[in-house]
Amino acid sequence: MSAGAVQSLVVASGARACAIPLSHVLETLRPLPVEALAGAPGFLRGLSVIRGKPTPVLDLRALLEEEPGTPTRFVTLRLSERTLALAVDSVLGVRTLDRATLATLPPLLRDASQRMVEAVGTLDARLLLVLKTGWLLPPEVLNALSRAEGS
Amino acid sequence: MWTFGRRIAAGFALSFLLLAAIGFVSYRGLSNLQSTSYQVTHTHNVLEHLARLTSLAKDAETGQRGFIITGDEAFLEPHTSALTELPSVLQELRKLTEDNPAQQKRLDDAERLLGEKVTELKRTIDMRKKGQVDETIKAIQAGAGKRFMDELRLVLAQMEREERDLLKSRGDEVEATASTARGTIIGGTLLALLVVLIAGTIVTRALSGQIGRAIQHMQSSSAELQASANQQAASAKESATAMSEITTTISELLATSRQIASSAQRVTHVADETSSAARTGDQTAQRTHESVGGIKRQVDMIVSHMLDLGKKSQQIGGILDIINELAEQTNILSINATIEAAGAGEQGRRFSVVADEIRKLADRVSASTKEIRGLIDEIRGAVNTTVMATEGGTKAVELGARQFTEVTASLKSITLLVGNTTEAAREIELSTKQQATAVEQVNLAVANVAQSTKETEASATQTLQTATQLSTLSRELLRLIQPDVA
Repeated sequence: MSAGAVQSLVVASGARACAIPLSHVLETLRPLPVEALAGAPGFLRGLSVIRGKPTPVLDLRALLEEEPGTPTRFVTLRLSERTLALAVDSVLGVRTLDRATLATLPPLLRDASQRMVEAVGTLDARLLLVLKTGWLLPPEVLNALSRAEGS
Repeated sequence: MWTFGRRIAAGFALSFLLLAAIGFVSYRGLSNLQSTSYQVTHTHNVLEHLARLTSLAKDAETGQRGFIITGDEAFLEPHTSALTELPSVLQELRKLTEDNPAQQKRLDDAERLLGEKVTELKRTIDMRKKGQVDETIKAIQAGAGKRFMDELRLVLAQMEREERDLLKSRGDEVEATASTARGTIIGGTLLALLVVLIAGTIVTRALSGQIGRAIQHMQSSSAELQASANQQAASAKESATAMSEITTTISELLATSRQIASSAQRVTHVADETSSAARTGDQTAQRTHESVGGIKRQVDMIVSHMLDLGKKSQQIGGILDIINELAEQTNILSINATIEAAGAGEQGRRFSVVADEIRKLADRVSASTKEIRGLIDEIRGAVNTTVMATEGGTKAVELGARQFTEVTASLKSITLLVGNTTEAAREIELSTKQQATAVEQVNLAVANVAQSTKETEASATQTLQTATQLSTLSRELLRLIQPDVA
């Protein structure tokens, strides 16, 4: 694999497709029961017991500020030492993305809400957002997670 | 109630009874007289025989004395003939006085005295025959013979007195009987005359009174009869006119009822034809109803099969769900395998390819199941449409069947009603025929009545004449009975 190519798990979120670097992905699974948390932000659906561990579940549509939908898959991710689940509309498959075909975000779009998107591209005539591996979670998310885990 | 007959009969009966009583009394008097005359004759006979007996005793003594005096046996002839006749006279006398014990006793004494006398006579005669004249005279002088004769005379005189007493008493009886008969005849005749006179007066009065009243009644009745006969004759004329009108009306009625009978016959014929047509219609409807029933059964079967097909489709859908579930699971597993293979680096690459192929297969399975689901949904839609269409058809068939049932019922009802109509028309026809017969009979009866009316008229005229004659007759009768009244 060339340095410019990166294997990603492509998931659907509304009209968009999102690519998540495969190095962060643990597995895909069907949605499990979620225990909602009081006072949690909108994107945090709550906690779900996955593989015997309580795992926070984030809503990708909420993160990307899209209309609420019905997720059909959970994707478990490992970010640094933290494991969390991402509720997505569906999993489209594992794709190898060539960075050369991707474009960086224009400066106008680089605001705080879009810090988790590294690049944009197309996939089968669909807008493809490449999520940042390290930046996946914004600080408020991380704080919320910390509060949730602490509670 | 004393009717004329009874009164007349009672008068005649009383007269007859009186006449019978007179006759009976006369007859009994005559019988008594006859019987008494027989007894008188009998007494005379007895007296005669007594006289004869005395005479014979005298003859016997006379003969004895002559012989004794003369010694000539020729003088014995009276003696001998007297002795010969004596027993027969005694016997007859005994016979004649057998009803009188006193006379019989006296007769016994007389017979004994006669026997002794005869013995004494015989003894003296024998003595004289032997020539003992003196002894004979002495014997006579002894007076035995005279004594016997005196006693005999006494006895016979007693007997004669007895008989003469009887004769006297019988004469008195005859006188009494004759007097009674005379009195009865005269009194009875007078009484009968009186009774006949009274009865005649009563009957005549009754006859002239009651018959006169009856004849007066008869006169008034015959006058009434005359009036009523006049009235009857007038009524009979009116009746004859009315009968003529009735006859005309009845003839018209007869013609009308014949027309009705003919119409009823035509109605019966038409009703028969209608009944036949209705029966044919009923049979056709029955057959159609059976065909519709067959169609309904077929449609029910189709619906059943379609519902079965729907159920099967549902089952296929369930299987497809399982397949889809398996495909999804395979898809998840293959993605996870790819993720794992990516983590294994170069060694995982081939496994990654296999996993990707598996995922593709799972995706294709999933796509196929979707297609199949679509097809099944279409099939179910088509089945639903078919079921609905067939249910509509079933409903239409049921409606048709119901309508056919109604049609059949209507046809049956029509048949029944037509039957009733036929029956009613036949009854009308029959009744009308009977009516016609009855009317004919009435016509006949009316003709008879008309004839009777004519006869009544004639007889009323006759009655009138008879009443007039009766009136005249009663007047004449009244004149005969009560000339002063008439």
